[in-house]
Amino acid sequence: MSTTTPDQRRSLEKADKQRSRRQFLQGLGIGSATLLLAACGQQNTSPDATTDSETAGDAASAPEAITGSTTLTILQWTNFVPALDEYFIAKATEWGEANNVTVQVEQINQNDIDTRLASAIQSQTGPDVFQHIYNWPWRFADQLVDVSDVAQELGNQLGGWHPGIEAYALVDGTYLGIPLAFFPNAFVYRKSMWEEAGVSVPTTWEEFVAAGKTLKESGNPIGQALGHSFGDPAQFWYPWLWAHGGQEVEEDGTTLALNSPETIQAVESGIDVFNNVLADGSLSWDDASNNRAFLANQISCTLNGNSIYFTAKDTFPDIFDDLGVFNMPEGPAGRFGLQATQTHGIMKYSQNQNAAKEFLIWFMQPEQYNPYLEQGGGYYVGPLQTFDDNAIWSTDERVALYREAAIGGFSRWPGYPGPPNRAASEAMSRYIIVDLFAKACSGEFQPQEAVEWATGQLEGIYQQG
Amino acid sequence: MAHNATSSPAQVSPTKLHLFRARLAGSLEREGVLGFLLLLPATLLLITFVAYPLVYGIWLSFTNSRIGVPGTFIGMGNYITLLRDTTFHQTVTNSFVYTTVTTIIKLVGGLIMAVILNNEFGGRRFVRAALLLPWIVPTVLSTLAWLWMFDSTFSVFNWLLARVGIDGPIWLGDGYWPMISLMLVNIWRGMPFFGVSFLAGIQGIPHELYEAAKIDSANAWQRFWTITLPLLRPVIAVVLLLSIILTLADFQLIYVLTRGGPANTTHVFSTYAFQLAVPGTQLGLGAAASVAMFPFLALIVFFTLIMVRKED
Repeated sequence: MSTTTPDQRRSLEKADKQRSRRQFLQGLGIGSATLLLAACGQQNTSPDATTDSETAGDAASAPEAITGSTTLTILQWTNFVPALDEYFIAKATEWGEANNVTVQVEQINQNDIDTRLASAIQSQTGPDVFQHIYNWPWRFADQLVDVSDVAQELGNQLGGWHPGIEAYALVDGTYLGIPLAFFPNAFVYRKSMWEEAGVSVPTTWEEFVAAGKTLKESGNPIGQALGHSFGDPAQFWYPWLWAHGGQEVEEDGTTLALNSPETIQAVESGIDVFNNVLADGSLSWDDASNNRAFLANQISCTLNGNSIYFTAKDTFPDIFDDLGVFNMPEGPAGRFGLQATQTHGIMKYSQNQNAAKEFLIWFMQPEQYNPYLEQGGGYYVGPLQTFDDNAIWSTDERVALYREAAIGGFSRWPGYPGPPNRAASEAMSRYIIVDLFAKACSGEFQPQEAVEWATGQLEGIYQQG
Repeated sequence: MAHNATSSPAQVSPTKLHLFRARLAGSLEREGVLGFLLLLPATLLLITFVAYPLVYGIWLSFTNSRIGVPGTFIGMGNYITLLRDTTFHQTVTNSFVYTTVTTIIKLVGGLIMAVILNNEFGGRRFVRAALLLPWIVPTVLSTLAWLWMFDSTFSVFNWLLARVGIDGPIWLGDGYWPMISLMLVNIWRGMPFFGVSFLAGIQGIPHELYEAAKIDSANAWQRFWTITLPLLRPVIAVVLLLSIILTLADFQLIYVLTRGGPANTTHVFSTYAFQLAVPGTQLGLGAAASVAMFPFLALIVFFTLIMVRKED
């Protein structure tokens, strides 16, 4: 009679799961090779390889890994590009039907996802998979399943992860999520308004400020959010701080370094930008405000994800033709960007961890993922290097600039130059760096006072570790 | 055994059953027992949904608990952190300014509303129903409409002001305007509650008193000051108490309009506690920010009860 202990059983089950996943991925490798051979006109494909080749694109790919009828729930944001949501849901449904899994995709406002995540963790029930933005896997590390086996094999198979997104999922050497995509930002501007004002695309922040002042005087200012919202405010003001030599912490990721002459310089320059470059109302803007203002001809430029481009393409052809794109200018300390990313994290409380892993592996395969990128039309940039050459990037040079923003080597993360960590994630969620600038720009604090206030807030956060 | 068989419920002798019923009826006749039984469901509900979360919240405030991490007891650590936290100081000030200003305006406005609605005029029923709408409509929905009206680019208020040559403010982003905007929406939403409650109170005041005052040549103001206001005082006390508690703990309105921004200038206890506990994941610290509201609430309840007893 078999007398395995519960621990032994768990180990065996884990080994089985890993084996089935490894077999699956090996199949994918063989499958990819087969497709390549077929494309080259080779005719001597083995029957086994043909079967495996179907694995990569066939939704019924991993039935042996999932036992019984299962319901898999995935919580995501409501995308600014609806076609991406529609495609994801369609693919999830397709995979679910083929694997006897009911897949439910729930979508809510991005600003509310961390609330749902927190309540799910506290109650230990809720969606099996959450979409994490930025560095959230660091903040919720204790609650996420180790997916290192899957992530490493996907990385090996598909050209490797881009470091800018891998850094968020790879928590202290363990992958706690499968990166889904960058949704990077770049400046969009109205060519006609800029020509009218006699200014050209800046390559440095100094040129940006000079152009911005002229634009504001001409009645077509630059617009940039400085309120409490997850995307645009952080994506502008963190890089602004870094480009002026300011930083939250030292390279060790724990020693605070905000209170420095460079930070004060960044804040003083920020006040100048707020008063003389930006459109009025920045302090109350959220991530959608600049989209509306740009498309209503109220501003001539803004830092944004690619959503303005798509809305203009679909609805405002005149603006679309007049729209230009440029990437982050360079500051005294270098060129920096902060790109939004999304990572799928599987919750430890989930009873469907295996199904979740299998679905995510399947979805990240080129057969599913390349069309996904195409649906986004350049709004998303793939996290794996194999997707860098997707045809979408050659459709419009303006779109290609978003790929450069994501993987061009100047993107950093909150907590830079230290590694991403929990404290930096919490500081971001509490808008400390954004409010550092907001408090100085609104006149509530002098630059030095604002820096001291932010340092005090960071001390409380970093002391917690 | 025969004895056991006879004691089963199906075979209880009519005499025993009769005795049991009689005893039960007798017990229910006793006020203490009946009162306990009647209170039991409400007490259980309160313990489950009010007392337990309250006690748990207080306990959390003494721990370094994070989302998903139980944490350990750290005594007054979180309260000391809050005492040193300038954003929390700002939150306390914001909460008091927000609650005090809105409550005073709602009180005065509600009284005026009630006195006007107490008069006979055409369409009175319709106006009464319409005035209740702000209070009935779900807060999030009505606040979203306000969010649009305060939009820095498309504000309908600023559009109207521009028509008469006035440059409108940036409602949710400039100086004191964000707080003023929040107060405006709170007053708009809360005043009908005051008005309708006071109206009910006014209608309960005997007409004879007003007639007697008229005979004594009292004018409208004197009638209001010497009859309406004193007799309305118990209603005012209760409405004030409820309103202060609800306003001090307001969350939805502020979360939808500003999320505590810009630069924390509109954080109140609940939004800051939420910011710390949920996105910030520091449950213990967030619980402490929330519990810190209780002493203030207790003081308010104390003074309101004194006001009511004085009336008694």
